Amino acid sequence: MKWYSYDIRNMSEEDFQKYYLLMTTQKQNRVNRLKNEIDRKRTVAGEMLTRKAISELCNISEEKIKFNVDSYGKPFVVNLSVEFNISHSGDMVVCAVDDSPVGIDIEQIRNVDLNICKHICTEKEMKYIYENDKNSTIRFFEVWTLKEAYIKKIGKGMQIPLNTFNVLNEGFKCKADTYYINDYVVSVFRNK
Amino acid sequence: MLEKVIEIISEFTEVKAEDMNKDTKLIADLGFNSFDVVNIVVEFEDEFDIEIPDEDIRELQTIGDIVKYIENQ
Repeated sequence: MKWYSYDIRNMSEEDFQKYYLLMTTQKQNRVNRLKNEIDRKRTVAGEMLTRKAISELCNISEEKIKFNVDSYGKPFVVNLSVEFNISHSGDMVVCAVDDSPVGIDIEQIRNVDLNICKHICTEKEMKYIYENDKNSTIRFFEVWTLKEAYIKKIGKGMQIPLNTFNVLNEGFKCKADTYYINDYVVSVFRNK
Repeated sequence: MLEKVIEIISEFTEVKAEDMNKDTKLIADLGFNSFDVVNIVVEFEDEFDIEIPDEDIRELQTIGDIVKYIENQ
């Protein structure tokens, strides 16, 4: 498993155009619908990062990579056995690639209403978040990104209520990693 | 109610209120990720003094869905 990060503030207009034109019409339509320019930029940056990552891992030129979506709407790479997952927050986009399903999530650490915990955390996770007052916001984002990375790996979106599984138990922890880039938290969940 | 919901979302997303209507989709049009969705739900809970159970959150896909949900509380 390898993961890559990219700061969209570094994206030139030429790169935006290049990777926008490489997108499927369906994806281009999705970009065009977005009302905020930063969201359009993030989506195209996701395409760019994914193509660069797969190109490096599979030794294939970026332009030759083809994407399609399965009957559940999950994107896949045509004719290559590589799995990928993208996430974005603030100015950052991240992409994980692996030979088996992988989930990645990034969030910018910011002030958050910790009332949100009751929607997403188990009791053990709440205890972990609150036991250290100084770091409770960072711990919250650690737990959140681990949960998101997990449900993105298994590919069921928000169908699994987030407060029904505990990402701090050993079975989860051995397949997951959390990283910090400046004021961002990134968690990756692997198959093995 | 629609105006109030749009006002809250506008503050949250910095998308202008006049660019939104009841058919605006949180994810497809406003670029929400899962975290934004749960966050805005907490804002609505505080603002309208309601509880939105997790199983209902995924039903809230458009601004119109949110308005209808709050009105039915």
